[in-house]
Amino acid sequence: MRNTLFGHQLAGAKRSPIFAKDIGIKILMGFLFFIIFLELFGGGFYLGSKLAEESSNPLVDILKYGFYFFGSVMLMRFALQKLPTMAVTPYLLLPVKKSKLVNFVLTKPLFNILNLLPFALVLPLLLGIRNYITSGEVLIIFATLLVCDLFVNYLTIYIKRIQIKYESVFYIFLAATLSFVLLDSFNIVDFSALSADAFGAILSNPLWLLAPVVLLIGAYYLNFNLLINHFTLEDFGKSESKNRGSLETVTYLQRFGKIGEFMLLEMKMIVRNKRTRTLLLMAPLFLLYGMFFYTNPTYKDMGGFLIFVGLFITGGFIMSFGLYFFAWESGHFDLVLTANNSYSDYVKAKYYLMVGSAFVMFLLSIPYAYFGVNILLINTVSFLFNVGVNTLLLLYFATNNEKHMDLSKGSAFNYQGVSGRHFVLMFPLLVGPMLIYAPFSLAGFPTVGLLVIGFLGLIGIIFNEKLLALITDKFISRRHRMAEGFRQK
Amino acid sequence: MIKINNLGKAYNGTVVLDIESLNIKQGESFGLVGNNGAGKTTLFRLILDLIKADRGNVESKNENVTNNSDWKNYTGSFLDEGFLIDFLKPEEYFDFIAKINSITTAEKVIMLDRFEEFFGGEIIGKDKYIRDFSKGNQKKIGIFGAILSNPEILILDEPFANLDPSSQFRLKTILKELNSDRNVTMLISSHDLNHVTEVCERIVVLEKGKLVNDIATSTETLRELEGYFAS
Repeated sequence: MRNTLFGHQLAGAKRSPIFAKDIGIKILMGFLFFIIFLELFGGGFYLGSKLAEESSNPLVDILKYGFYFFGSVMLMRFALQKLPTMAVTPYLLLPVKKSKLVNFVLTKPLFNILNLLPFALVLPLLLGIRNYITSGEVLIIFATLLVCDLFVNYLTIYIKRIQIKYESVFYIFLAATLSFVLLDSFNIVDFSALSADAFGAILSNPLWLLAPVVLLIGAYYLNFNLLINHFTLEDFGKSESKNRGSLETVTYLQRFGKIGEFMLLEMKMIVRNKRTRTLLLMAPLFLLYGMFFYTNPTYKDMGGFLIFVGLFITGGFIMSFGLYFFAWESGHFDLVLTANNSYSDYVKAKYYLMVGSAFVMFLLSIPYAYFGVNILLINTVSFLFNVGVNTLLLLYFATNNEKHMDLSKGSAFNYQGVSGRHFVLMFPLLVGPMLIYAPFSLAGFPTVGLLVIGFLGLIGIIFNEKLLALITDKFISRRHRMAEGFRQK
Repeated sequence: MIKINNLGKAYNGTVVLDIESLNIKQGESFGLVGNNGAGKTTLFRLILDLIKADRGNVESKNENVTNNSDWKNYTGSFLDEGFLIDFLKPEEYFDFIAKINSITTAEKVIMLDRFEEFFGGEIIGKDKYIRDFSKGNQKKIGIFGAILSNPEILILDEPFANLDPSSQFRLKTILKELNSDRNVTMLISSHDLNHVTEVCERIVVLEKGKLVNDIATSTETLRELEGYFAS
């Protein structure tokens, strides 16, 4: 039975349209992975040899970083690893025990290529310090690595699964990660010492290996339980949220006529759909950027870099949301095209909504003037640039979006609809202003540079009617292609 | 009112629509039948300027629908769930459509009254988003949305599918009323030959993208169509 299931999965993977289409990309990715492995190998070996030379007790030094290592592996898995799923419905009618199916689904993570990365790093590391380590210790380290990696693997999967239904889990996870980082950087808790102790204990008495083994079994069991009880994961995703009708009674925008209607619609869309809601709730994080950089003396005086910070604070939401303008509405794009509205109103509504959000973020960032009037100036010009230039650029290039976006599958790190083009677009938005600033700063007139950036933003704002008309024209010319792409779920 | 001129559309080399000429007069109730893949939805999509034709054009009141958006002022349509805003409650959806079509609250209330039976108490006053309704009810919401805009032209793609028998009957009554009382031009596609012969005064049969028959409905039409599809 297991072989049959496995055979089905393999066939499914081979016949999926993704596999067939992007064979070129697959080759490229394979090549990239190969290079990454080589680098990890080389890096690990180099690290190991250096430690062997310079450290008095290289093994302990490596152990110190154990917790950090697994912490980063966990974050990496959280970001990159896909949840192992299987279309179980066809199998439900067959005489197959549920537990067998669940166990099969849970073995899928073992075949993830990311599993090799920890080994790719640690193996050469050990090679580097081979003179200070016994073969017995190598074995134990390997076993520990295996168990802990699997534990992290299953724990990550569990958290990723459960936050489909309980959105708050994701934010708790985020908060927990942040608090660990803070505890560590302010030395309230000495994680390196703890790590060295924990792994050292295992080395000196291998029986301690049972501890991570127990954790692993626990994580596996959590997953097993979750799947068995919510076998049709489809209903698992449907949130029984009680706050139906958010923004239902907002009437303020109605005075702005049709544009107001569209703005309200967009706001409702952002708030009532998981995927966009996550973006919105992460917006405050952009505000925290300031906290991090303004208190750090190295960055405090680098005007160019602070522009980057200013852009992020006032425009972080705009950039993350605006990249996928129009694609968010792929579920009802046909209505957008046939409804009795003018395209110009439709586009303008998006523009004004982004202007509003940038303004709110800007207001919230004013307290940062505490760190210096220069910072206030930088943030102001960044705000103007975001509104006058970046938003319009985003609207313009968003007309190239053609991939359907499913708003119900919401988690951060959902890469549906994302293409390389989006990453490329971020560059001019963020780096552009810095390039403008650079020559002025080098010539000794940094403030003038800032004013130029603000001025460019102002021009964009003054001429926004004309520019929006241009964008609307581009939208009109591309609308059929967008509609065709959005229709394909 | 609607003129189809030498319209052609192909996907991946396969011709899905090829109609030399087709004219629909104002106030006509026009039925479109054909097997799956015959091109019914494609034709509607072309009339609504949702896809680009490879060849030819569609004119509504003598204006090309691709270059001129005036047709949106007087055309109401519902083809599939892509016309529904699934994160709105039905009441909000209706509000939105009413607002952008300048339908007053009073007019909206009158129409809601007319459709009360059709909704069967399952649509209004339920505290849930459109995406949480059953397919049949979503269809009802969409059909009402199309009619709410008080259009001169109404385009519905397989409106009877997924509806329970009572609702199908009520919809037929509503459509016939719209056509006779308010002279609404109706374009309806359906797989149900019964419904379409009852509601429409003219029936066009599509097969593999081509127009193969154009009949004025009479008592013989149902038998004629059944004979055609049985062969």
